Order: sequence, then C-alpha cells, then structure tokens
Amino acid sequence: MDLLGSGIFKGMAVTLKNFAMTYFDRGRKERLPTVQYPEAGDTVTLFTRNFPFLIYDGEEEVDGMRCVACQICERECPPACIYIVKEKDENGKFVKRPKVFDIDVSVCMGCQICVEVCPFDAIVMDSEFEYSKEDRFGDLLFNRDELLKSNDYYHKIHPEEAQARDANLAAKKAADEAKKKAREEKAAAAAAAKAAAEKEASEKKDSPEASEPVAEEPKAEPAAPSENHAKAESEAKEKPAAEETPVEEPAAATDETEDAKEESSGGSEGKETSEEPEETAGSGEDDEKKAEEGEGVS
Amino acid sequence: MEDPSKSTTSEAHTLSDSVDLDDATRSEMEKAGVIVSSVDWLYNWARSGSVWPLQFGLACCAIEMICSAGSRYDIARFGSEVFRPSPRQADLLIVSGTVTKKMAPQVVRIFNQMPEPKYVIAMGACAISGGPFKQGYNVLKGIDRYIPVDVYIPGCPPRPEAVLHSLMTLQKGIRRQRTLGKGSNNPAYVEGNREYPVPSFSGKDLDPPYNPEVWQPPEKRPNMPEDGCP
Amino acid sequence: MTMESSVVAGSEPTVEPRGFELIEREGLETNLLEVSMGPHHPSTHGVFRMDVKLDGETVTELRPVFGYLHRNHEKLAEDMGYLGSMPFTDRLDYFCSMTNNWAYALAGEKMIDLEVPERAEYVRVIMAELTRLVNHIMLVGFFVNDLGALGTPLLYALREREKILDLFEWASGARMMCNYMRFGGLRNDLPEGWLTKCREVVDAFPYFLDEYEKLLVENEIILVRTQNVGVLKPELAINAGITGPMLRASGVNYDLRKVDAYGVYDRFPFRVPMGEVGDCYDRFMVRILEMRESIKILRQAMDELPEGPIMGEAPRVFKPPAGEIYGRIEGPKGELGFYLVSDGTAKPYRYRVRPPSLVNLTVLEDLCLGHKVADAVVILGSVDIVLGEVDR
Ligand code: SF4
Ligand code: SF4
Ligand code: SF4
Repeated sequence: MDLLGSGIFKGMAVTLKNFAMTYFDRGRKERLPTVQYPEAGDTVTLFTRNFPFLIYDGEEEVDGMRCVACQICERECPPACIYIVKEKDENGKFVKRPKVFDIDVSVCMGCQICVEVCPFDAIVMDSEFEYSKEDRFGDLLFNRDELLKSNDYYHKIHPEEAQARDANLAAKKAADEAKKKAREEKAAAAAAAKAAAEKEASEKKDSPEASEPVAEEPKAEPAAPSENHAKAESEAKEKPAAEETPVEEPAAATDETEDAKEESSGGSEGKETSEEPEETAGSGEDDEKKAEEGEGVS
Repeated sequence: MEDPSKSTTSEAHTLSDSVDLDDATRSEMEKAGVIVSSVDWLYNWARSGSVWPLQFGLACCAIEMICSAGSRYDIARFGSEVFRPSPRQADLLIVSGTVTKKMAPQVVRIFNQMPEPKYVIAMGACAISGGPFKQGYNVLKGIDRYIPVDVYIPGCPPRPEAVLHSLMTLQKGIRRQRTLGKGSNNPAYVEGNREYPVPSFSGKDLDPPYNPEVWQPPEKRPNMPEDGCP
Repeated sequence: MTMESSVVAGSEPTVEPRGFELIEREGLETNLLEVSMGPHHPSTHGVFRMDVKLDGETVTELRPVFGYLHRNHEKLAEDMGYLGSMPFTDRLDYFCSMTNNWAYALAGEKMIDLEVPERAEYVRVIMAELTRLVNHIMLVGFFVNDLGALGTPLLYALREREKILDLFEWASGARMMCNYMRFGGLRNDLPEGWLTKCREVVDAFPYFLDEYEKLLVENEIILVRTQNVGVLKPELAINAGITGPMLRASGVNYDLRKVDAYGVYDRFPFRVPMGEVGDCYDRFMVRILEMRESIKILRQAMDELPEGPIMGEAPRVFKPPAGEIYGRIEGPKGELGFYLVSDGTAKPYRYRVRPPSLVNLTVLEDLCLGHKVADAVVILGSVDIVLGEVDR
C-alpha cells in the first residue's frame, strides 16, 4: 500500500472492468447473464424437483393410474402432507386405487421421500414451480385429478429418470408375466388335483405364504432407488402367488382387517377350512404390527 | 392486460345495486366509473411497476429472496429491486421463512408500521402453513392467521423464479384494483390504514391464536383434528 | 447505521426495565443508552437480537437474544424415523445442506458400523468442498455488505454461488435443500457430464477469487474497519469451544479434516490456513485462503474419483442397537456434530445437534466490548452465523 486510497481505486478498477466487459462478452457463460424469465425461459433443469405428482399410463387418467393406494407414502412423508382414501367398489370392497389423493403443497417440502418409498413408481417429482396463488385453501391443496399427469409429461421433464423407471417397470412386468404363466399351469394342475384329498393341505400351506407380501409392502425402506426397485421387483414376483387363491386377491392392496373379512366370507369355499381364515387373519395382524414398527424407520 | 373499463362497469352494477340508486344516477356513475377507471389504470400501472419490498428475511427462504434480487434473476426487471430496510418506506412485505411464535408479534408489528397501500406475500411452505415444521410446538401455522396475505408461493424454498412469478401475480392483482372513486375495492382506501392487533407471546402460545378479522378456520375435513387446525 | 428502524421494529420488553443511568464524566454528562438491535434489523444475519448498552457509541454490554427461529428441529426428529430427519438437516444451516447431510449420515453410519463405498466418499468430499466454497463466498459477500459495501461484492458472490448451486441442482434436484446423502452412501449417482461441468466451475473459481481479492483485501476502508476489531485471543477461543475458521483465525491449528480424517480426507494434502491476530480481518482472510485450499482438494478428488457403487450395504430397516453416538465433521462454520441416542427402536431416543454457529456466537460479547456499535455489526458478520442453526 503506497498511497492511501490506492486500494480503493484498485477495487474500483475491478468493478469498472467488469462493467465495461459486459458490453463485449455479453454471451459468455461465466458471466451468468440474466435469465429473462418469464419471456425467455427459466433455469429449470431436467433434474429439478419441486412437488410430487402421480403418473398414469396410456390415455385414461384414472384407469391408467399406477398408484394402488398402499398408503406407504402417506405414512413416510415427514411433514405428513399426503392424505389418501381408498376407493371402494359398489360391494364395499376396496379396489387398488385411491379415491382421494390430496397433497397439500403449502406444506410439502419437496424432499422426494414419497418418491423413494413408493414401490410402484407411481409418484414422482415435478419441476413445475409457477404455483403462486391468491387463495391458500382453494388452490394449494392438490387433489387426485390435479396431481395426475401422464407418463409422456414425465418423459418430457425428466427423460433419464423416466427411462430408468420405465425399464424397471418393464422388467417387473416381464417377471409378472412369467409368473402368471407359471401360475396358470400350476392352477390347471391344481384343478386336476383338487378332487384329491390333499386340497386342504395345499391351502394351508398357501395362505400364510400369500399374506406375506402384503405385510412386506409397508416395510419398504427408502434406501437407494436401485435397492427399492429390486425389492419392488421381488414383491411383484411374490404377488402372483398371493393371487393364486381368489380369496387372497384383495389382500394385495387393502389393509389387513379387510383382508380378514374377505377371507372369512370367501372361506365358504370349503367348510372344512373354516378355521383357516382365523389363523391367517391373526398372522396378518401380527405382520401388520411388525410392519408398523418397521415403517417408522425410514 | 385485461380491459379495465369493462370489468369496472360490470362490477359497478352490483355496487350501485347495493347502494340503491335510480337509473339516471347509475348511468352517470357508470360513466364516471369509466373515467375513473382510466385514471385508475394509469395509477395502477405506476403502482404495480414499483412495488418496493421490505428487506426482511426470516429463514432459508430469505436466501432465495436475496437470490432473486441477484443479477441472474434480477428482480429489478419488475421494478422491485429497492429493498427498503425500514417498513415505513416499503409497499410489500415478503414473509420469507418460518414464523415462530416468538417472531409473530414482530411480523404483525412490522405490517402495522407499513403505510398503505401495502401487500403481503407469504413465501415458502413455512410462511403459508408452518410447512415442514408445522407439527412443532413453536411454529406459527401460517402467517395469514394474523395479517391478510395477498399471494402465496408454495415451495421449500421456492425458486427465485417463483418469487418473480409471485410478483407478477401480485402486479396483476394490483392492476385489478379500483382505487379512486366510490367503487373502490382497494382496502387501503376503503378501510384506511389497516392495523391489526399484535398477538402477545406468553411463553407458551400466542394470544389470540388467530385474528378472526382476517382468518377463519377452514371448513373441516375428515382428516383434520378437532380444533380445525390443518 | 439505521438504528431507528431497529428500534421501531423492536420486540416486547422481556427483561427487567433498565432505564437510563447517569454516568459522571469530567465535565460531560452522558447517558447509557440501551438499543435493541433486531430481531428485524437490516444488518443482523437473520432474526437475531442484540440488546446493546451504549456509552455514547461504545458498547458496554451486549446481550444476545436467541430463539426467534426455534423450529423444534430436535424434538421433531425424536418423533420421526432416522431417515425422515435427513431433509430436516438441510434446513439447519441452509447455506450448507450437503455438509449437514454428511454429518448426520456419518453419525448414523457410526451407529450401525456401515461401510461407505469409496466412490460415495469421494463424491461426498466434492460436495462438501463445493459447499465450503458457497458458504465462504456468501459469508464474504454479506460481511462486506455489513461494512457498507452495498451491492457489488454481494452480487459477485451471488453469481458464483449460482454456478455451484446449478451443480447441486443437477446432482440432487434442488438448489438449496439437497437431501442428497443417505446412511451408507448417496441417494443417486452423479449424472453424466456432471464432472466435466464441475471441473469447469472449479477451474474458473481461482480467477474469480483473484478478482475478488483485488476488489476487497487492499481496500483501505475494509482494513480500517476490520483490523484489530474484535480480537479473539486463542486461550479464550479454546475455552469457549470455538471451532472452524474462527478458531483458526486466532492461530489455533485445529481442523477436523486433519484431526479426525473422516471420510477419505487423509488422502488429500492440503494446508490449514491460520491467522495471527484473531481479528475480523483474519477471520475474513482465513476464509478466502480456505477457499483456495478447497479448490485444491476438489481438483484432486475429481481426478481420483473411482468408479463403483454409491450405496453401501444399508439395511432395509434402519434400526440401530441401543447406545449413543457422536458423529462430527468439519462444516464450513466449524465442528458440526450430531449426537444420537438410540433405545433400539426405529426412532432416536435423543437427537441433538452441536451447531457450530451457536457455540461460536457465545463469545460475541467479549469481542464487542469496547468497540463502537457499528463494529458490533461487523463482528457479528465475521462470526458467520446462520440462525437456522443457532436456534434450530
Ligand atoms: S406409495 Fe405409491 S402406490 Fe402407494 S399410495 Fe403412495 S403413490 Fe400410491
Ligand atoms: S416430497 Fe416430501 S413432503 Fe412432499 S409429499 Fe413427498 S414426502 Fe411429503
Ligand atoms: S419453507 Fe422451507 S426453505 Fe422456506 S423457510 Fe421453511 S423450511 Fe426454510
């Protein structure tokens, strides 16, 4: 420092240079020129996440919905901003679809945990951010129909992620198909063997096994996505087993109490198996409890 | 921009209906309304182009608010780059971040100190509803319980562009306002200087829990707890 | 300074009434003036309040008042699964979500003896050092802003920060609240092309630093306002538990990256910059020098980044055995630690954060006494606090 004030002038020279250079290297990326939002785009990338939305496949919004209302995301969401009510058909049976699926985006913190825990790849993150509204309760509570967006849209905003997810789903589906085939063959064999006396025995063996994947679901751990997918896959493989006995079918998507009801009503198949449902229902509840414990983890 | 004269006349009908005027006066008022609204338009155009926010940050969202004033997003393009440190010189209060129960009285006080016409943007999940911390014991579940909020920006934190978007939403709202004349729907001119009672923090909770003038518990939904707090 | 605004925006009187006191001086009669700076004050960093007692303009007493941003982070975490707290740690020190994630992940990994794959460790180092750049550059920007250099330096800092935030957004999806690390690794791998872009940003950074230094460090006003202001003696610093750049500015060589060598930090040769006097200028310069060291680490980490998995053998259900653990890292502001007590269930029994800024703030009164009130603002800026972390 030779002359008092020379430091200040050095600093001023820097700002002056910066100012002058803006006229010469306007487009240089290091300068990070102003993004002319809203006229000329924004800074949203292909990886940006903001709020979740639900995917549907194909054209039909509601029918193509991937969500099966398993409510895992509802339980895992840290600020608890998801609200799900399952849909019932006219007989009062639960179908694999949410009737109400609300996300309160005025609470959501965009943490992506719901996406990580969803075993069905049904919920993913959106990059849309223009949600400024003048009405909080009316506009910022997104219901199911507002949340549903097509898979094409997902491919548009997050192409890489969407491809990975689709590939994963396709693999799952293929595994599903293979299982189905095997199951059909097995079912045929089983029909032939039905007359035989070991019917009850086979049922006995099936039911507890079948209820297992149901209990498994809520345990879904939001670990690495890859792991998650692997688990979902294995689950998908197990599920056909659950569907083997018609009695068990709704169990895959509904909760345990309903499960037990279904079983007791469906138990009319064979009078001699009437004590069976009790047992399975019991084990199911146990599993539920276990799952309840487990789910807090993630 | 929408045609201001059109909306004015249609609304003037309902207004004059309520005041119970005869047809002649009404048509006269409509005429007057047209004239007034064009002055309005100029006035609102000027007002909406220079909304000066208060330099007031609460938490993480404030950083994104500062970012939106940075050169990359440049809030100056919307005429709002002048962040005033004093509430007396500001038009817009951006509640950017978590309002705790200890901080809420100060926020209301700051709002009271701002001169009319004043606007409030609730930025981020926390300011709207308590956000991620809404289950906590010390977080106010939405600043709209005490002061009227004009625009809500969801997000945690909202992107700087979302702040700009909210500003545009606010500007649209300002341009819709009718300021002069009898048909004014601008609270600044109808109600005078809006000052709301400052809640007191007793160490446990705020008293009163909300200001019934500006906020009522929403309609109860099946998953809501008894007290109606979402 | 804009004192008036702080007074009008002041808060309810919580302390016992302390009125004006008359002090006898030779010839001159002065009053002790009490000013409540904050919680809304243009130059306090966040909603922080200082009750200062002034004799003329000299600070004779300073009482910090906390709690305006107490968000029950710890209590909420005790009611939530271990992973559920991860996004909340982002919001502790909102400039440094990556290092917060790391500290918490480290504590969790210690609890169940989890191995982290090498690639994940390297990526963590890269992210942490980028975070350090963001934090320090913003600190310097706000610091000179407090000194009265409104605008330009802060805008330059914001510009550089944007570049790094773009990298974060690319890797994790969000600009500020990254929520990127998991127990045992990372949530997702680096996207393709990320490293190239990161290299570009890191390579351009030293030029920016040169420019920034030219802009600031010789400026006479900054020298006068910061040198010999708020001197922190090393003994006091150690006794008060100060960590991070603030401790090193006082001339104590203590850097957890060297001491603990957590992660893979033992593989990187880097120097620990230290100050001599411990005044505001040293604290400011230490940060600038640290950024240069960070760039060195970043370069090496990017060169050596191995291929491989990014996630260890994390159990599906994170249920640590009963016990307690303290995991700490060298955050940009100091030692950031997470103390977890588990009772064997899926939720922590006790969850406690050791926030560096709160501990560093404890010496504020010692630093400010005897200085002018305008210097109190400068000193507060040099301590580098973020209220989200102080109050939690
Ligand atoms: S976890 Fe997935 S499938 Fe289950 S309810 Fe949520 S979105 Fe639907
Ligand atoms: S992103 Fe996070 S906060 Fe938002 S709905 Fe999903 S889990 Fe809940
Ligand atoms: S909404 Fe999110 S980013 Fe904003 S203050 Fe709250 S926690 Fe922070």
